[in-house]
Amino acid sequence: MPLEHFRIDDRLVHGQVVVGWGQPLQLRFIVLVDDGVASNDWERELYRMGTPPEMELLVETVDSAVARMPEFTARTDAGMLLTADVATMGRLTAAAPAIRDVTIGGLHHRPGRAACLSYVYLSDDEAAGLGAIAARGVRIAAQDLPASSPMPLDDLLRERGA
Amino acid sequence: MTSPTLPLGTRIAILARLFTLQGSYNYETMIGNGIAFAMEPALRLLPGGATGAAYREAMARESRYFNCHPYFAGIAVGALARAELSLEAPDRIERFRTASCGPLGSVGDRLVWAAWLPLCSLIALVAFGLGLGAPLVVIGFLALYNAGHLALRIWGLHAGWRDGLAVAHALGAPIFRTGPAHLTRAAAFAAGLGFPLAIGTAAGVTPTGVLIIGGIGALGALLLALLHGRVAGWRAAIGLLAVAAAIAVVVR
Amino acid sequence: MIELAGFLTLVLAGALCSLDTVSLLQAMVSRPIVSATIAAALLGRPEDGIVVGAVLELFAIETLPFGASRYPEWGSAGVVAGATYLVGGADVAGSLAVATLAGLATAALGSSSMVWHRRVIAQLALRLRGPLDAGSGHAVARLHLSGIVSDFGRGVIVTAVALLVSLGVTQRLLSAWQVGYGPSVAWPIVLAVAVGGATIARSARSAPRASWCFAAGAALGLGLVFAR
Repeated sequence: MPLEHFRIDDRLVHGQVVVGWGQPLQLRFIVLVDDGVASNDWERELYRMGTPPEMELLVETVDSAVARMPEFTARTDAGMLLTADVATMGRLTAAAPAIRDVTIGGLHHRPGRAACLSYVYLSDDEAAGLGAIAARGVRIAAQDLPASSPMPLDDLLRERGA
Repeated sequence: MTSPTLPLGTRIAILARLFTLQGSYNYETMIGNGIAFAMEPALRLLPGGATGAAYREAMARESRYFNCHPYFAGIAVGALARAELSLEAPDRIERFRTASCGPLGSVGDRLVWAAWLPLCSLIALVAFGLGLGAPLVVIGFLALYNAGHLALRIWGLHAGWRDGLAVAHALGAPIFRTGPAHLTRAAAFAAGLGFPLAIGTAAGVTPTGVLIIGGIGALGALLLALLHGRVAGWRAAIGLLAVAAAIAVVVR
Repeated sequence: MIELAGFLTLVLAGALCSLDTVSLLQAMVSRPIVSATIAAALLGRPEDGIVVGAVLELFAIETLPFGASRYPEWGSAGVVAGATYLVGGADVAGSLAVATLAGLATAALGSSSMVWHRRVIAQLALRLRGPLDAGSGHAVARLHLSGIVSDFGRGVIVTAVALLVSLGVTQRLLSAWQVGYGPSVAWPIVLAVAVGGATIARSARSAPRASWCFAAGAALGLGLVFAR
């Protein structure tokens, strides 16, 4: 199982990723795409410390991730790509058609965001950004852990409007 | 400026409050309010005390969204308290809060929830299977687990305060990097040892009975493992037990 | 049957154990092997309570309390299961199955109640938004203590409701139970071994040689079973 999991999660590398998904899927590498983290030594170090030694952590900018996407998708071991926000995933999906499915794993409360699920809060811009990603033919669903039922984007946006 | 100090009484007050860290857990600020509550005794040391503008600004900042493993929150509380008392720039503090959530959750979840807790549970099952009395099993489990728990809480606060916002390297200690794998191996051994013993004691069956129950259970485990975690076994068990109970009361 | 004083003591124990799950201490008094034994000890037979506690513990190792994910609440669940097992009778066919079912169902009820409780705290935080944004230490403390006190109340409600249902149904269910003691005991244990075993299998793949450690432990464990 190569790189098949593309996740938006504002905590990036955390327990749900490395244990909740990492153990059942036997993840062996994580591609963390964030321009801010990629340009900051101590943040890169912090995320590296949070990644288990048996998993390789690759910290990329959006541009370098797009350039290396063929290399990531050609790997035979299981991997997950993470972005902390919708905008970054939007830029990636626009430049990398290999991304066909995106999971929202966690976008937490912040002023201006409205609740969809206990772990997904979206602003108007983020809802529009997800709509734009979906318009490219990418399937989007919210799912925090493998045993949770995935909630498709349409239902998610309905919850937000409710 | 001189390095801030944290009096012993303040440290003890923070440590005590860390045991209530998740008291106001909610889906909006997660443990943010708990972080501010735990750190509050340190923030009283800011210029102007508990009525000063610095205290109020820091409390407002620290009560916002934050989430990490509860036992590792002491690292964040110690590091942030030091940053606040050193009058670090608010945007630097905010950046640390954002960036530390994931790694402090990841390291804690791997070490405690996924390794130390299962190991202690399985050792308790071994003790139960060996026929040790209930009080001994329970007290032994609590003593063993909480030795690690307390050590982590105390160390976390100390390391966070000592290293401040440069605390990342503390997470690189061997116990956090390779410790989970060692604990997982120990848990696997304890599971292998404990399952047959616990089945024998709980079911009160012969060794052949242990083999039959264990064998069927192992097949079920294989099936669940093949589902890659997509099914929550404990939830499925509710349905399977309910069906079995319904059959047991209607079928002769 | 349990008298009122005993019932209230169990409710108090369930609430305290459930408080340990998230809000206070997290010293794992809430683990079912502990909470079921505490309930049984309150009823005078801890050695029976630990049996259902051990069965539930195998289910509990599957569930990890990650962030905002939903997970079962084992504190009140263990107390309800322990009390149900004792009321049913440790030597009665079906008692372990019914007690295990009561424990798992209470864990699910507790899980839903935690979601509800977290929303209540968020509502309270919304009402305190002004003072919280202004950095009021009193508002932070008030929100925090309200959360702990209301979580205790949540534990009281979950334990009391689950105990009332479970104790009300158990005797009737067991008096109509048609399956023999052996299979009735084996079924919940088989399920617990399946769930616990799958968890061990998943985690063992993350650590080199863990499978061999399991095999070595199993060989020793089976050896001890046959040697007894």
